[in-house]
Amino acid sequence: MSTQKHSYVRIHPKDNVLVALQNLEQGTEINFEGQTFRLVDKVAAKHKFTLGDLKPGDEIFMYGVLVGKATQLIPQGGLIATGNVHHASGEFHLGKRKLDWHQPDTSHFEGRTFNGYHRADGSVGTGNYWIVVPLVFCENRNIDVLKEALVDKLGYKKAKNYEGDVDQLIGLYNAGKSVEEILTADIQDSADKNNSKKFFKNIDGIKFLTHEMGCGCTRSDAQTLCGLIAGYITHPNVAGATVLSLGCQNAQVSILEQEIKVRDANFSKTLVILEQQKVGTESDLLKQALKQTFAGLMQANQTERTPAPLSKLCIGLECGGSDGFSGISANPALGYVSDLLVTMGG
Amino acid sequence: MEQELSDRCVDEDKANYFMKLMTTYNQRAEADGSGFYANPSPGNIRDGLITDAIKSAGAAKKGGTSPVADVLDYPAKVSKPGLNLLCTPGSDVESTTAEVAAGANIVLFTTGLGTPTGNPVTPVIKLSTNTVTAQKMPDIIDINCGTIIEGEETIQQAGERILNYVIQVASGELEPASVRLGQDDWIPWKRGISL
Repeated sequence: MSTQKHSYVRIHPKDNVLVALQNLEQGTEINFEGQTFRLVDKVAAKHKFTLGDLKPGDEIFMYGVLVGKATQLIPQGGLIATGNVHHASGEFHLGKRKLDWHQPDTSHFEGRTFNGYHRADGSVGTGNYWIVVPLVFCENRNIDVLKEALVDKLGYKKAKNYEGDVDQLIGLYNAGKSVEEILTADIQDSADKNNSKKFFKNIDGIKFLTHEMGCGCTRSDAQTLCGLIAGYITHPNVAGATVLSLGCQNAQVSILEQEIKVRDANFSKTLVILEQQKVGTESDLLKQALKQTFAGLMQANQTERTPAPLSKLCIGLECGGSDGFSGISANPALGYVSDLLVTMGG
Repeated sequence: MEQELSDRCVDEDKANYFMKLMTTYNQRAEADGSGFYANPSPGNIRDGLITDAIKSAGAAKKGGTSPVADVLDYPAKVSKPGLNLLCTPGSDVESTTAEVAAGANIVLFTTGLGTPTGNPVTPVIKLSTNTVTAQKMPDIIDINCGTIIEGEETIQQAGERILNYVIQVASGELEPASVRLGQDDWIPWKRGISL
């Protein structure tokens, strides 16, 4: 597929709609593979118009696959929209393996490395974080208290915050300004007052993973929550973890421990687990959590970045807030990155 | 699209497992009075993704062309090199949360309309599909892929540019916007009802 400075494109030879790459007015002349016709509708960039007349029930193909059916007559050069097309997709069944593929040229990346944190299980982190996580929402507030105590003191406060804006608003209020004046006031971008330096230079951050689960849900959700948390504890970017449990919840410490074993049979990271109903007072719980977390951070700070091959990159591919260009520009570009890494053993 | 992805699975067991996950998910959506057809959001539709199949066929382009080495259900961890398919919800924060649990140490996140998603422990690199969004939200977009639409760059050139950026982020030399802004989104997927 080539998108060389064209105002519309067909993504796959099998497609019977074209994608507008820029806003096209009604009446715009389209010249495509020997056909000449005019757009019967205005077609905004990212939207599609038909290459031929479609009758109700006719199939629409994009990316070479069935993507919808016409619900009414759509003339050649007509805009497809939710009003004249509904969703349809191809049936699927077990087919013949199609494993032949064209490996891309990786010569630009031969011998390249990244500097990461090497873990005992052979994985390599792109960061070195400590996580503090509750097994149940009842512990969220205790997690917030730990966050309040640790983040600022250890130098992990974000450079960009808006406290300066609030200072300016307070100043305006004290100067007797009205609601109207405050709404139209020019608030200066707060100067970056954050001069805090990371206390532990090899620890990129301490992260607090509060959530709404762990109890009052199905047993299977408690199990998958423990699996998810185990995935983070054994993650290459995580040096160690502090886990707060209440005690009586569905998501039991024993389930978490099993899930960690499943993911890393020789698990050897520092893991602090505290259970409030065993410890007793909240104050004791928090003091112990702070002391043990601090000791864990001291150990985690011993790790340094060293070179690792690109095959140690494990890339998650995600899209969100997608638009009509996603499948033409950024997503295929990620597809190419994926092919490059797979070729290099990642 | 399901047909192509299942045909690319390295063996029939994985292909069958993939199809089972897809079918089960759709049945559950239908049991709740919905279905895959209802996926595109108002913003998706306004910007040209009028059916789920259009959205999903475009989304599947992220997986490139290599064989599918493994198919995983939530919240499993990747154990085989190569392209892995992980069953997650369509919601991008739940999905990113699960990809990192599976072991992702970099997330590449494409967006047309612009979203502020990040992750607490893995850098999430934001790529815009069009130049307008990259210019409108320069503080949250790291890489512009609108260059491909404008014919300034091929998909291959953009891919190499992205991988070079990834290497710098992975080495701690560059902070993508999600890390700089502290976009620590973390939402576990709740599949069952509350009791």
